[in-house]
Amino acid sequence: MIQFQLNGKQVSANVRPGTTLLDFLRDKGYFSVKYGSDKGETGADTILVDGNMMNASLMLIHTVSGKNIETVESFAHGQDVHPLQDSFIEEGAIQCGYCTPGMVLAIESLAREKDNPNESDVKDVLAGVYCRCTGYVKPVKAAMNYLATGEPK
Amino acid sequence: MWYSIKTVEKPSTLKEAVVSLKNIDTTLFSGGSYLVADKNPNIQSLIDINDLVGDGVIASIDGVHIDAGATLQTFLDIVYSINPECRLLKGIKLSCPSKQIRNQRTFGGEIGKGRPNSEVMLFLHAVNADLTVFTDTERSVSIRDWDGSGIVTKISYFPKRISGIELERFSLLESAPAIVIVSGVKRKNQFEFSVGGTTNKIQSFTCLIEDWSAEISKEFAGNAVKEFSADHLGSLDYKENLIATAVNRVGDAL
Amino acid sequence: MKIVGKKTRRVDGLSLAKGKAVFADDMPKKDYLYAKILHSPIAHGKIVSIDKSKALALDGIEIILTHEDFTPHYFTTAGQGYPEPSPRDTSMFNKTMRFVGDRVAVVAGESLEVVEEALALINVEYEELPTIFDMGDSIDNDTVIHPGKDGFSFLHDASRNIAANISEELGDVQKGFNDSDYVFEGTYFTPYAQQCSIEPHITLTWLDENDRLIIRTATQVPYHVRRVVAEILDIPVRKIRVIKPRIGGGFGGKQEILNEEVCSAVTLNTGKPCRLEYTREEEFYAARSRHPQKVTYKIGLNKDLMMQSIDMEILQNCGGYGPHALTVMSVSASKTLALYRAPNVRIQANAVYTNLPPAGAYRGYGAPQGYFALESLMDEIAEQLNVDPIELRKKNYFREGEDVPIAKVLGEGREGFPVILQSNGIDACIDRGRELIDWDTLKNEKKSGIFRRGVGMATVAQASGIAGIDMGSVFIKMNEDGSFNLNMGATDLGTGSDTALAQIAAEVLDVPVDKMIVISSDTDTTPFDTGAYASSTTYVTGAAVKKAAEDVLSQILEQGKKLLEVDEATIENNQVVSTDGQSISYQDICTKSFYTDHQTQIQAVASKVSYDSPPPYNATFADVIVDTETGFVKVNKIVSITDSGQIINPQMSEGQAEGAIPQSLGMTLTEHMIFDDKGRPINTDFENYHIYTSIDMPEIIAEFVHTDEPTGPYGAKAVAEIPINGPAPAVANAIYNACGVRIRECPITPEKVLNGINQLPIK
Repeated sequence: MIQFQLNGKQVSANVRPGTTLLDFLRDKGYFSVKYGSDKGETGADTILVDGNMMNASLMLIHTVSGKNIETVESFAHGQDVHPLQDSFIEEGAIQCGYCTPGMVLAIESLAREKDNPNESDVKDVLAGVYCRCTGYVKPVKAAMNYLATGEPK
Repeated sequence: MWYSIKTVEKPSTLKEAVVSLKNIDTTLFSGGSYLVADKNPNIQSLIDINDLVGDGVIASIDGVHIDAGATLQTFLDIVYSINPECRLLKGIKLSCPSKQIRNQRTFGGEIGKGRPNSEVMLFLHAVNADLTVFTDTERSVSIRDWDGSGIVTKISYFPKRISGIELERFSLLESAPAIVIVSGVKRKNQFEFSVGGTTNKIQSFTCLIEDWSAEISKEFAGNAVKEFSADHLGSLDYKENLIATAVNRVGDAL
Repeated sequence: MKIVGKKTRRVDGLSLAKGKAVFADDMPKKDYLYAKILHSPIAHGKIVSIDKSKALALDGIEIILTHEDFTPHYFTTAGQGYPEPSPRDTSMFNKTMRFVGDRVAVVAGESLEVVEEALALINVEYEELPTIFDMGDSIDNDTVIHPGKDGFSFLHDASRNIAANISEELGDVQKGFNDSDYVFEGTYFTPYAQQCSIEPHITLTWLDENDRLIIRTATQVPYHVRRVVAEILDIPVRKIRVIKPRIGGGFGGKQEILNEEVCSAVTLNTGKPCRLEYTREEEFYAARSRHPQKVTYKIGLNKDLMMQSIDMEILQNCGGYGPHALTVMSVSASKTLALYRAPNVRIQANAVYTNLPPAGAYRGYGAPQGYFALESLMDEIAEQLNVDPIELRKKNYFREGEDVPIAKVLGEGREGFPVILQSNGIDACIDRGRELIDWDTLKNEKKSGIFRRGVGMATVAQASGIAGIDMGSVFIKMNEDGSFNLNMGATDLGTGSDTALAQIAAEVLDVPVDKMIVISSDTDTTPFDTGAYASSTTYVTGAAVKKAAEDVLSQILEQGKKLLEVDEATIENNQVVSTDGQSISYQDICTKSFYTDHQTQIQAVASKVSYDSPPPYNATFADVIVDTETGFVKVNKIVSITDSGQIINPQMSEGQAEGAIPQSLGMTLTEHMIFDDKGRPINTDFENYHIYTSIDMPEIIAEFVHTDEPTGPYGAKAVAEIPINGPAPAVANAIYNACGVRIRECPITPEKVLNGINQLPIK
């Protein structure tokens, strides 16, 4: 039995040891975390683990024991929208939206980690989130707008 | 899901771990970023040693000591905090452009995988890092001499012993794995170069600084390219040229 | 205008930003059967026998279907209108395998794990046949890849391995060359390339409470899916509903009936829901990709640099089957031959079969291949004649008011329609682009040192929908709070069509966009649309939206007059206002119309097919640096200026250009699809197939110039494909400017550049 925190709630996982966190999360209805490939490089499966961005598809369930996992489902409640998500919408940084949760988590983890990140920092955290639609132009802009406000969650 | 995994064991000593590893369907589990990506169907049991090795990095001018469980990102953060201008930071980062994976990938896992196109490996070869390896006892062996056996618990190198270090990589994109990587250090009166990339193994050579020349680079490249193969990225002649160019650039920078 | 042309937030932005459950797979688990395809390990061979017994004996395996379970019914997987202008050369399960990855069987069971185990237990005996991997060897080869299919619909000549052929001439090109003062020729290659949508192909099928087949699938063409599945599985169209949820990228890769029919077959044969998702690996070798082409352009000019003759020859590799074979070549020809004027024009094109993965639709759809050739050759001509490459082009463009004769001849699979250009902003695109790339300085700068910088440019056109074929239909109804439902078949694959079309309706109805409730791409609840391809949605469906909205507006006016009991009134500020000062709001009009007076539902439908397909234009400029010791090329900056008439949504249009550019740069410099000598794909993951990531991107500037296109809704033209056409030739031209090396083959590898440098005469 693996116990961990998921979006602020205590969760137990009693599953096969070869289960990845991606398998587990999607089974439980956390659809923001997605499948892009088997090797993690697309980042469609990005989650935060104790605030650090990681790939759910590369994490076996036993490794999340005692950790605090966050997905974008925790970012806004009901009718709210998180300012970073709002910045993405405002800048037109979303096209198909498949990589958007991954990007949002990546930028948010940067915001928590560093004061005044620059564009190079943003591109660095986005390197592990593949986007085939946007060319990263507007996502980087949306991220910089948000980071300039100095508002981590 | 990695279907074939039946058990994850957490041994209480390294000795136990070594014993368990003698089974053919068993493998060592550290960060897991390589293993879970590959999902080898022949593996049924994972020996998780994360509680047995540390995950920290201690760095000073006298020595840098990296626990095998330290992640690539931890190391990069420490180096950045000491020297944000370090030119090697970018190169080492490109061994793994995804920060998510860098947060998971451990030094132990990276060395265990031993990819010849890993900038981390080329870096460790350049500095001739000392590995603390546990078989039935602990021993120390330099990475260039390590035969791959045992469990790596610590990696150390000593910046004082080198007066310069450089890395050059050639790849189609920064995010793409490199075709040719050359690392080089300057120690006392000699250069030590290591070559990696899309090759079978990392190869090194040493020469006195006063002897170093374009001809020597070319000769080295001619030998090293034998462990490369021709592919869509280039013919052997082209790769030989790349190696020689990289060695020249590293040497010039040193 | 208040809404069209103005910054507008996407109508689906919130749900996407919040990561809501909107994609195909984002459904609570039904008790699915999980299905996987058994793919052929050989490139060419007949299936002699299939032994499923061990696999079927596994606990949890429900069904295994192969060619033995069906009589062959030939269709094309291409998502196109009926009759599909692609060879009907495949059946759901073929008895002959024609590429590594071809479909042998489908296995469905209770878990992915048992299905994967079962795949390994199926014993297939093949009789291997000789293979053809080089498209140059295909025509008249002793090995026939589709024997016995002569006469099949849209299959040009099966016994010669020719899937499709185009042979058209206007005037007399040979005479034109004889009359020319200068004749230049060049042959250029473009490779296989992958769309690489981050969401793989995924289909879910189930029977609803009325035993209708429900198909929930990541597709660009829901109506074509419905029709083709009905045909293949021999059930009536009315028994099928196709739902397209949000899609994680398409780019043409999902303009295909790839797995919907086989997933449906599992459901129909078991009564159970079925889920079939491709792995990333399968995306690389068993989906669709860009057609490789060898294009030879020959251009004759007179002393005034006016073109007399243009002769285009194409050899196109289809792979093992021919979806989109004819139409992609048609586009290569019709888009490039419609840019420059010449009295004599000829196209000779053959699409041939090989034992490699079938190509399909990929953004640009033949135009990128054609333009790489044409726009490279234009620069080569300018260089040889020692004239300015921009001036050479400007002398020869078709201009506003002119008709483009080749368009009438080259439809997509049938005769086209006349084109008279009513808007052409190419000069403005060039002028703006050259300024932003600093063309005048960088082009003529002396090049020296190891790292050499160069600039290059290309000008391109595309089209706005397929004239006479693409049809979009729309339904609008009013609600009592003054909002409107907008139901349309049109398919938003991330392109933002839901938003752009809502903007058009909102502009007509004079309401904010958030008063439009958009439902799209459900064959039960939205009217027909050919689907998202050929850059048709804004231009064609947009016109239908405008028409339906105008109809609704006039109904509101009529109803308002009835309710006010007046004969004369106008609409102002969401009210009907009579000449004598009475007024009634939208909300009151609808409320009364529902419940109390002159009851009626205000609603309208409209369909639109356009016989015009006005070209958007684009000028792309590239700034590159060549490392002359290694041949590596780094792109510093791409400037892409487009004339798409009236832009409906500026941010979304910029986004189209910004995303198309790295796809084109990938094809040009970094994306290789590699096969071994047995036709097996080697690089089936992102580690070995390199797409541009955030740290690789050059600086991109994407802008638009405005023109007035009278035939488009609010003057709009297409925008989604055209920006992918320019970067490849612009980069090739920039490399030449930087170091004097001309590469005529994509991907441009460092070795090719270095070899070119080493062969240059020493100055």
